[in-house]
Amino acid sequence: MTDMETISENAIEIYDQAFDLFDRGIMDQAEILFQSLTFIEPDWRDAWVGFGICLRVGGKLEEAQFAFDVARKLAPDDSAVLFHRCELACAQKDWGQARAEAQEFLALGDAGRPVAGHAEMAQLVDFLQTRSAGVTA
Amino acid sequence: MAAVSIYNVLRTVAQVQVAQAMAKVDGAIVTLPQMSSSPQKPTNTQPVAQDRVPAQIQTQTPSAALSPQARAQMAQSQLTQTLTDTVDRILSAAHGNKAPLGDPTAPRPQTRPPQSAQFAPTAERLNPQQPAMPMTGRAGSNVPSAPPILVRAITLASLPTPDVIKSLGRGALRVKSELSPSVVQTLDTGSVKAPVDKIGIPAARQPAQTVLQGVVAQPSVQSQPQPLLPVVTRLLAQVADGEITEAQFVKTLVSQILTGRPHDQASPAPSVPRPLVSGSPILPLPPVQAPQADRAPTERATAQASVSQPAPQPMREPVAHIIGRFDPTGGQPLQMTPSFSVFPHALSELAIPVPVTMQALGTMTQVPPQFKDLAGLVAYYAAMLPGWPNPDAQRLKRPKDIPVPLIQLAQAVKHLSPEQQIALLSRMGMPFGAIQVLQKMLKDLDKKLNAKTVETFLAAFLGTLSFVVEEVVTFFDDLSQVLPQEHTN
Repeated sequence: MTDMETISENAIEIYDQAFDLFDRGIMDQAEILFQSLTFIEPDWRDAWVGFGICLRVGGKLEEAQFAFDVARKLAPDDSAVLFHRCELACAQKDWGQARAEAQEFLALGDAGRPVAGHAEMAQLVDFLQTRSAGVTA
Repeated sequence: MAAVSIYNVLRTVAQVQVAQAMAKVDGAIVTLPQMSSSPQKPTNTQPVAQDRVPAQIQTQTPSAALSPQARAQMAQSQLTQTLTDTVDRILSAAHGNKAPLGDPTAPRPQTRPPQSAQFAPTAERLNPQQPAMPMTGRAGSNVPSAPPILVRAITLASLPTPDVIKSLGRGALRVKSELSPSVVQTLDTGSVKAPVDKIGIPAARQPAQTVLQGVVAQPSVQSQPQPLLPVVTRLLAQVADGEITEAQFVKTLVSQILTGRPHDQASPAPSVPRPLVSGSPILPLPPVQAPQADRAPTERATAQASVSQPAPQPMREPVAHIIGRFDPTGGQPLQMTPSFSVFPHALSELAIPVPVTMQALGTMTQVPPQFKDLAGLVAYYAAMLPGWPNPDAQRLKRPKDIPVPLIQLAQAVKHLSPEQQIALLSRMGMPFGAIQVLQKMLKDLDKKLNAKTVETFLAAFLGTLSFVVEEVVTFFDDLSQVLPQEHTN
């Protein structure tokens, strides 16, 4: 994964713009900028995650899967990546994969990178457990 | 009226009890915002249900308060029965995102965030203390099938903010580009599907010949707004006047950059080819038959080009022109033989690790065309290097007679910062793949190649990419202001 100190100013500028566009709801252009980042800084986890999030929001699930796969390879123990992969698996109704991602997320404990989506991940885990219980019942 | 009030009370109490029961049963984290005792505040602006319960009881129980205690106990029994029924109704309605009861004014479990939360301000949406979305699936007899997080609730909260990135990244690119305007302009045009390179060079460039002719056609290159070194300015003027050829221009320019002084002072008269060390890649026009020893690299290059470019694009004139200088057959296509497959082996011998992202990109269903083309172009010229290692050239070692300045030159190129290397290549319009290949080559430059091949490669490559000559010249101008200082160190 790219060392943060090696990220160029230009890439950071694009990241800033992509973030701003996303926050303003201009998802398609944010997606373009994140995609550009994946070319400019191909080993930057955040670029791939941002790209994947934009794709996910845009309903491009397969493409988002690819982006998160790359992010996963770049940062295998990153809880944020696991969270988004789990959420994407839920969206794809791939419950087995979602449970696997959730288990890896939980197994990380505090070792993973702090992620702001712990509450959301808790919801996903709760959802998966509830669904699993319902299926077995 | 009294029945409605009691009904509301029952429903509210039932909601609380259902939530508490669910929390006890599955032991999971119940994050229904309306009922959670978590300190996290939900995104909706309605008060939580727990807060409503006592208020509603206070406002709705005065009629019951007049009853005696026995009457209250009977009411409690009825309440229990009604509670059971209400629980069933709530459970049955929970998965359908429907209001369990018909009173629209009564508080109900929110399954969707308020509309205002969709595009909330950044600070608010990125607040990790704010759960983006309550659960939509609940425990019960039915198996929930809907993901608990709606698309609109997926934010960039898991990513570091730009401020954090800025604080972590040093942004070492020395050459500050006009990336933002170009990106914005590209976005405005709505035609952004091509990747944006590092310094914002538009993907669509002017054709090589057009730009080059534009440079040549300038009556006075001194009128160019770009800051040009005197040597470069003079060389450009000579090119414009036809005193020197493009090849001589590039060769002289490269030598100037690498050694700090002109390689061979360009003269109006064509220079006589010098004795060659390991090949004859650069010769003055018209093309001269290359030595027999150069056939193998050229053949390898042609083979690699065939392999790496499944759908060859029409080659630009300068490219074909320069390739012609290397082609001993005078531009006739070479036939592929089994020996042409040595290039992949050569790559493996170099132990060039393929970045994970490149592996992943290999699985992409749609790779940008320019990625393939330019990556193939780089591979083409890499294979063309006379000293490029192959199974038959294991014994290749650095000659002892390599000029020291050239070694310093190679070292200087090698020790360019990644940002400088990328900046150079980006100015050439090189995409990521080509940059990766070249960086790997630069990494092993002093080990695998000799200075002659380096010079040859650079000259050929820069000549091929003459359509970005302005960018190259500008970069060399910047670089030449740094290299002399480094040489003196």
